[in-house]
Amino acid sequence: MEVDKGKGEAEETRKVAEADRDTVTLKSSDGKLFEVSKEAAARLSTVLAGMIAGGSIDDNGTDLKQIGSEALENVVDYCNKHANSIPSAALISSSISFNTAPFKEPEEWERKFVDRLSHDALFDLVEAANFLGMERLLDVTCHKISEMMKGKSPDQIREVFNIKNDYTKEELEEIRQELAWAFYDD
Amino acid sequence: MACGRDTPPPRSTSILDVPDDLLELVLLRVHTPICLFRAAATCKPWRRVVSGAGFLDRLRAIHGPHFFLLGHYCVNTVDMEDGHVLTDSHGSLLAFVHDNAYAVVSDPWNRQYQALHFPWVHPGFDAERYFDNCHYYSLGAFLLDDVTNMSGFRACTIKQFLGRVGGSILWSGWDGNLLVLDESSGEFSIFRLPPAMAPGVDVMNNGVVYPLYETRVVGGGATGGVRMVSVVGGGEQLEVLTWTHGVSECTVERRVGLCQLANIGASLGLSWLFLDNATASTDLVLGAILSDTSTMKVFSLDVETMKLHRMKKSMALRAQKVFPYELPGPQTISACCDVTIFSNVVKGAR
Repeated sequence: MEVDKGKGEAEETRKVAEADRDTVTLKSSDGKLFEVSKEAAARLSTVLAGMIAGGSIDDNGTDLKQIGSEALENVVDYCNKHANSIPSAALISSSISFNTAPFKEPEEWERKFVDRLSHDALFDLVEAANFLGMERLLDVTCHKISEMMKGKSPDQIREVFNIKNDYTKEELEEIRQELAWAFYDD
Repeated sequence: MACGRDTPPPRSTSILDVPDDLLELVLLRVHTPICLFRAAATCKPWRRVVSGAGFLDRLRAIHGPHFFLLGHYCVNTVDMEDGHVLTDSHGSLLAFVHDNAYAVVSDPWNRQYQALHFPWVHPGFDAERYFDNCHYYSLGAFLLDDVTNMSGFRACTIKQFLGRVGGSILWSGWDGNLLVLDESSGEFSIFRLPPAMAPGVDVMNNGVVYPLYETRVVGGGATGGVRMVSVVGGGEQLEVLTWTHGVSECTVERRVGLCQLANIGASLGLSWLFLDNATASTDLVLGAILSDTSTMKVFSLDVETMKLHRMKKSMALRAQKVFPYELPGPQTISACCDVTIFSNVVKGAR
């Protein structure tokens, strides 16, 4: 609904002045176009904010070659639907380093947003969020992945993430001995 | 997997495709240290991230400094007949000193320990502690910051421990000299307390009176120096002292009457001393002892505001010197085998 409203507004504005559109068009690596509110994009993504400010936004679709259409759809979805409830990415990043900032728990809608994603989509979204400098989205997606490890043994974690065990038998034995207390299955 | 979309993307993104810096962001968000160890045990790339440089610092920045804290060890002053006195803890290691003869570094979590005999203990003289014709005392074994596991540690054995702050560890001597170890350079320096200071009284040791200087380190001063408080003037005044590197004497920042601060009447047999407790940072616990009745009032001192607050004696006396104990850090899984170093730094006294 909000997207449609945004599009309608965008068309009206385009008639007045092409440069004053209030949406930006993003193009995924596989050529699909997505429309996102300019205000939300600038607030949530430091990279898009920089591109908008620097005038490097292409009205025919700004190429984001590193991001597939599914991930970009999720990014745009995140921005358009929920932008209003999130503090500005630019504001956060200017004051504290993301890497060491205390983590703020995801809100209910953010949980729902990542819970519906498949593993593949989630991993793609982490990379897209990182590429676009979307700190809150990165935070929420990383949190979701780390939650998937909660209470699981190494074997179970491997199963969840489809990780191949690349330890040799001897190395595994060494780890088991040193960290016996950390394993459920011992 | 069949999915309802018309064009399912022909990809097979796995978590292993996620670059290391993003994987680190994921692993920084684990809920418990145990979860972190399990994650590291799943595969080598993950272990590499967890044991990477700076990971632990970032982990503590996010989860707080006590992410690995399991609990505290407490010095039991009642039951000490086995003679091992706990003098320090660092991570999952504990350091004990036994009867001025040897130190023990112990890793209770992994059920390992190692004894380090002091070089001044002559094998032939059972009770004598001589080395180069000097008599040596050990008043503690302290684990330095770079100590992480049993495979590589250094121990220092010196005098009475006062505290550590801003990369400096301080000990007091019997003669009003203070010894400072710069943790980064490993170098020692000595400075003097103001000469007018009268010795304190150690009543905790069954009333035996030692010429002990009642001094505690309370924090870093300006320009990397050290701030201390001392009970002086026959045990009724409190001095705040500052010392900066490269200076042989410290300066008196201020001096206050303790009885005045505590709003109790001064009397002849009243003396003050520090009661060591868990948090020897800015909150110190002081006891005011009236010698003729053997009664004690207990106060906590906020050094910043210079205010004394009366506290319950039972709480203060229960607050023994305690040592935090943490889970062994993730370094234990990074299969590093450092060379065992035992740099033994001693201070002789005739």
